[in-house]
Amino acid sequence: MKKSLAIFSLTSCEGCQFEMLNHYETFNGLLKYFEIKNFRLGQENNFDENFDIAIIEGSADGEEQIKFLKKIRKQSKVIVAIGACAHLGGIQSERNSLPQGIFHKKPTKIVPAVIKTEYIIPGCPINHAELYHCLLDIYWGKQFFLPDLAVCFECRVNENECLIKSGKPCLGPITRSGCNSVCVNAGEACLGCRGAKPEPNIEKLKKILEPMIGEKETENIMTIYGDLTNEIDPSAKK
Amino acid sequence: MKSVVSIHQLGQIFDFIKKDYRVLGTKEENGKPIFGEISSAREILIPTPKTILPFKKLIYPAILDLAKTENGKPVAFFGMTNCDAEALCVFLDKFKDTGLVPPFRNILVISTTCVPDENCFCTAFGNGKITNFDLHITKEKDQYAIFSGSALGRKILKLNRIKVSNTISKPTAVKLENVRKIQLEKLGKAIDDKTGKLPFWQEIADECFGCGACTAVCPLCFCTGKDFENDAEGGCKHCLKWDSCYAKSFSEIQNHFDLRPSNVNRLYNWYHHKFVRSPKEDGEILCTGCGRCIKACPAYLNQHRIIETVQNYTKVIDKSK
Amino acid sequence: MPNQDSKFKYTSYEIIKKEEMMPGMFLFRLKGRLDFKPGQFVQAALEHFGEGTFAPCSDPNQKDYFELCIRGCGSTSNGLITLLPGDEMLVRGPYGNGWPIKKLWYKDTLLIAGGMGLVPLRPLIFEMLRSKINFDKITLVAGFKTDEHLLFSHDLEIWRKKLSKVIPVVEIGSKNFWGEIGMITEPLKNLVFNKKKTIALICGPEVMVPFVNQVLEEKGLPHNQIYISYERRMECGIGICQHCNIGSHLVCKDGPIFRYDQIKEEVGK
Repeated sequence: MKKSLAIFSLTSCEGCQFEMLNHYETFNGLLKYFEIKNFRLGQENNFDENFDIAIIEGSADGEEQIKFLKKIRKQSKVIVAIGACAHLGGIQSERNSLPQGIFHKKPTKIVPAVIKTEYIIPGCPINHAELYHCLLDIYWGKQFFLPDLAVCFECRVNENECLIKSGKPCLGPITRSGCNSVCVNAGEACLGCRGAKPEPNIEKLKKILEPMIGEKETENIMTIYGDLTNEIDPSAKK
Repeated sequence: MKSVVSIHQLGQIFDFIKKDYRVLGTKEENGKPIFGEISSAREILIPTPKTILPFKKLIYPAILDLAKTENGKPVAFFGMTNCDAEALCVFLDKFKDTGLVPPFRNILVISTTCVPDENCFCTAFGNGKITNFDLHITKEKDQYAIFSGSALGRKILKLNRIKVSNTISKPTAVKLENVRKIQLEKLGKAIDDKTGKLPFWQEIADECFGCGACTAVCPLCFCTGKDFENDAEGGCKHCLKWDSCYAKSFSEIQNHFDLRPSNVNRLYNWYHHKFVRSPKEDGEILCTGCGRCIKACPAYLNQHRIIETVQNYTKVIDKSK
Repeated sequence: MPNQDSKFKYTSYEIIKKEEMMPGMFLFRLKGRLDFKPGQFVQAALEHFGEGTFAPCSDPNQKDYFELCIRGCGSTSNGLITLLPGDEMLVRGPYGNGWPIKKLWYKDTLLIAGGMGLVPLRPLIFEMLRSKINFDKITLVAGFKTDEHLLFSHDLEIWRKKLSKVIPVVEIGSKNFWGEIGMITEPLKNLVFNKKKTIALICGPEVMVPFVNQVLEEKGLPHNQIYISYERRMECGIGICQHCNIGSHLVCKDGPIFRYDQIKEEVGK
């Protein structure tokens, strides 16, 4: 039996939805298991049904979106929050640290802070393979776990040399693996879009990065996608 | 036994081996030395630089599908450093009854001279003698010197009509400056006896990210997780995946009861397995001093210095007695 | 599915009986012979889910079937308990060393079980009852949460008549419960045994073991007369995955049963 699946978007760039369609072959394979009820990019519009799984992208901005999230929660059996915006706050969460009243009255909120969230697929954008594994596991009833090592592990499996040691500020050592170290494979430093791994040694990384790029810049790169240290992660192996 | 051959003869030997073996070795790809399938003698790097990942990625891949574990053709490693050849022997021994890796008798080792770097410390565990090989190749100006180390190696030379001189000659041992001997028995005892050393281990754990990079690159780290991977075709792939003892969930049992609850326990376990548990099991330490972990560590930890210090740590305690 | 030549290949057994022992906990009877020693364990798998470690709990001499007691805990075990009679279960094993039965000959045996810890002791009790002449006093102390959580209560009633002493202990129990109420250490403290010829076998949660050991130590039972069955995370069962070590020992190969004096230094390493 197919399960009903709805994909909703809050405040975000909708890049995670594109990432899903970007790998159309795999996405197509999923249609054997799921009936898509709501997906803006797929031109499905259904807001008032009950869903087996609701995928939510983006952070909740303002009363209207918070109300919408709560409504979807009531209609859905499982909530899967995807992308750094839903998980950590995303770029827009930068304003949370600004003095109140400059742009908006209220800070933007991550999905798990508003509603109970069963699974989080982190990343900016998400790793589509990870989302599909999660969805298939939900379909079969298996508990899905995110990997709990640092990006460095995958980075070495992909035979990259350590970027920190060549003088680039990289957040790999404290960031959760599962992205297959895509950024470092392409020569770019990790910016921690997947949030912190369990028990991250942030103090140590600061000790390495601060002499390299200064205290302020270290603080800056660690907060690009929101507060790494303050993550809520229901699907981590605890 | 030593013979000196030209590059043409080396190519001939390579082709001879390629007929019966799947040839793996160190080659250059995207400007990096890596282990991979070798299709031509031209690709082999002699002397051989250190790769980031060791040979294990070829015989025990990061994701191993258990439906496809048959080991067909025998494997020849053509172009690997002495420390890796040594690690290969230990690795195959650890997996001998599992059917997951090719059996020892199906493996031909053709080692080559290495390019030691500042992280190497293989001589700390021995005298640097090069012994684990069927054939060993070093470069001598425009020619290559081949040493045979087994009956099979001699046979291969003979079948290729390579003259073997009668004088006994062995490959030059690896020499590393500033690497002091480590007495394994003493080191094992120093690690095994935890009393009074908690601050020592804690100090290292505070500096460690627990990222698992060292376990990924270690030729003798083989922690594995078993996974049932569901695919979109409705199938379920049973596979073994590289895991790391630094993972938080690694030693967890039901109800999330973690037997190694913090990084200091996991870090200690790594050293304990390498230098205490494994020697107790079969007399082999799980370290060849290749120094890959030192290079891979983003936290600038030096595993070589750490084991040296553990030894001296006992000395300090001995004096106080 | 794993390659048929690999060490990970499964044997498929048909479920012929399923009995709910308490909510969320089932006893599965699987058709076919499993040649196991009491105290050994198997890996039971469910396609699309994963694997779990379970100890066979039936009489090892039973040639037609064996039994697995499965409690829904994680997603795999919760999936396994949805299987029904007629379905097939994938099992590989048995693995591990098993209880040291010959060391128990002509000795007094003290069996201490905490909750599910009774499961791997059950085949041993069957085995001991068969050749009872080889064993002297057999005492069973089994702790549970409440008297409604009593495992194998039917067996406990039978063993009560056949063993020297059976003491079920529950943390919360009704007035007419035939066992004792309190922590498992209480009846152990009051137990009188010959410390020269008693061998204690312990199986229970990791948190219970040190408390039991402390009582046994206070009563003067030497450490080399205590055997403990340990629970660890099992991924391979054949000694390669390195998840299950206790210090220098691997639970899947050298255990799961260890003599306390040989393991006590290693726990926590």
